[in-house]
Amino acid sequence: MTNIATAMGQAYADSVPMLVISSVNAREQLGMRHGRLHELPSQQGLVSGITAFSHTILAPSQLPEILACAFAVFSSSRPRPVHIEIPVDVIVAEVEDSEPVAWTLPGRAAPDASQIAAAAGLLAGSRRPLIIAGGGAQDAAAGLRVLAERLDAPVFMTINGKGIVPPVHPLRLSGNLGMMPLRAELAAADVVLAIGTEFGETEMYPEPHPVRIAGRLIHVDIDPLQLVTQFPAALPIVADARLAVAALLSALPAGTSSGDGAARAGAIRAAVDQVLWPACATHRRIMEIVDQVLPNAIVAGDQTEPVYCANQFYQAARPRSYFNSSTGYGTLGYGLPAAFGAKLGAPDRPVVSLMGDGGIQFSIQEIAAAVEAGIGVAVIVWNNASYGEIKAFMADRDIPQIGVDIFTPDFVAVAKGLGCEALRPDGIEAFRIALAESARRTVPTLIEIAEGSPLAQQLRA
Amino acid sequence: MVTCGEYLVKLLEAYGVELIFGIPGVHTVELYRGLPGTKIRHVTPRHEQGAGFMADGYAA
Ligand SMILES: Cc1ncc(C[n+]2csc(CCOP(=O)(O)OP(=O)(O)O)c2C)c(N)n1
Repeated sequence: MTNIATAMGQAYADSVPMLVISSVNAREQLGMRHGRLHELPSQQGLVSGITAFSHTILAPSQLPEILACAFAVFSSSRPRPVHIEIPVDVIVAEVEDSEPVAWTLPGRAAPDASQIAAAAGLLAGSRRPLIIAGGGAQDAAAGLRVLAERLDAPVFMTINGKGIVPPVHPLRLSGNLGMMPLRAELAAADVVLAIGTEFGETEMYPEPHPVRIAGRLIHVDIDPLQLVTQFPAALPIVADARLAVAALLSALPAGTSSGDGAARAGAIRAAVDQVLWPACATHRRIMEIVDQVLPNAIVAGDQTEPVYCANQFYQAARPRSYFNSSTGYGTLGYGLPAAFGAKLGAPDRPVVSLMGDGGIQFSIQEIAAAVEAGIGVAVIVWNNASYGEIKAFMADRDIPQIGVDIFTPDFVAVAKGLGCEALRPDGIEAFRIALAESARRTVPTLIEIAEGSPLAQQLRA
Repeated sequence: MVTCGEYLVKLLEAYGVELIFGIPGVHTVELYRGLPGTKIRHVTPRHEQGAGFMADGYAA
């Protein structure tokens, strides 16, 4: 149970649905401290804080009902891990072999009509509207675009919201909410419509700032508690994002446009470009090449310089295409197995994993699992032979840089030993070819880019 | 009659589950008995944390 707890913590923070089924010792042994195999004082107590709920099946008759509860969480509420544990004596208990029936699941919550009318009134009267679209708004993408166009409102997408508005859209914003151009817009907007976001600080790396909204905030979320965290909203609307956007669209007459949204968005994008990290140049080039060679790719990342940079500038072509563990709980080792899972979920799309040399050593052995399962993804390893982010952080704070200059193995040799393809391209052309070939394989392709290498220098130029 | 473990995987299939990530252990082998009777695919990671991260990427 403890081994999967970290992954559950990451999924909990990122609002990802996950059903975790485990065994537990026999009912009569629970909590008895007999030193039995895999015994913990209480598995349920251990993981209940990182789940929507955790349930111990004390009799087989509970199973259909509890599974229905799990799938109801996934279908209708804020998605989060659910844990069901079955004592070993209950697993083998006999039940009637009846036809298994999935219960009819609840739908999604629609918004309160009076709140939608009030929100439409605020938006229609707004001279400077701003939309913030979070990971919870991904399924509302189509409607949200129409809404943004109708209001002529610039749209800021959080890291998990990337792709809700396409890269070339004139109303699209870039950067992060901690950057001055975005903070200034948050302060200047008279109405802010925020959908499916918790305004988390991990959005704002490297410089998180408390979010200050001067105008009226219309906040839509499926989770009522999220609507009263951090700061109050003028209109806290508990609802499914897609249904709320549809309701707003039908309440808002066409032609309520503020008029200058595209110009504001363009100015913010230009201002953001001025405050990007210098390191972004290299990683922007990497991502441009990824987009050219592997269009429509899913990019799953870890916590490493290329990810922190791409968070600031990268634009996904569509929703559910860009996610990483720099958000939320923030665990190293996520980006490699998450990419493998993404490929299993979307076998027809190319998948790219963005890893650092430190993070990949948390989970590199999963390459063997991917070889076995026939998973072909490109794994880009940015190798600076250090826990670079932390090393820089220590330097900033004038702390001796202890424990951050790590011995890094020969990743190409390790990866080949684990059964996948691996190489160190010597230049941009070789990098392109490596990416293209990765998409034709049924095993991962590890592509190492060492900081300071000829390839890294070409990418920076 | 079937075991609760065999019934569980049938129920999961009824809910549309197509993929399970797991590492069998002595306490969980009975959850595997019924798996061949379903269309559910099983992928074996090399650490349970990998199972969780793979499931996360699959769902995200
Ligand atoms: C499980 C875990 N342990 C430690 C950390 C702290 N941490 C965050 S970033 C980082 C450095 C990661 O190094 P690497 O993957 O090489 O990427 P780089 O920063 O060098 O680009 C560390 C140690 C963490 N976030 N998660």
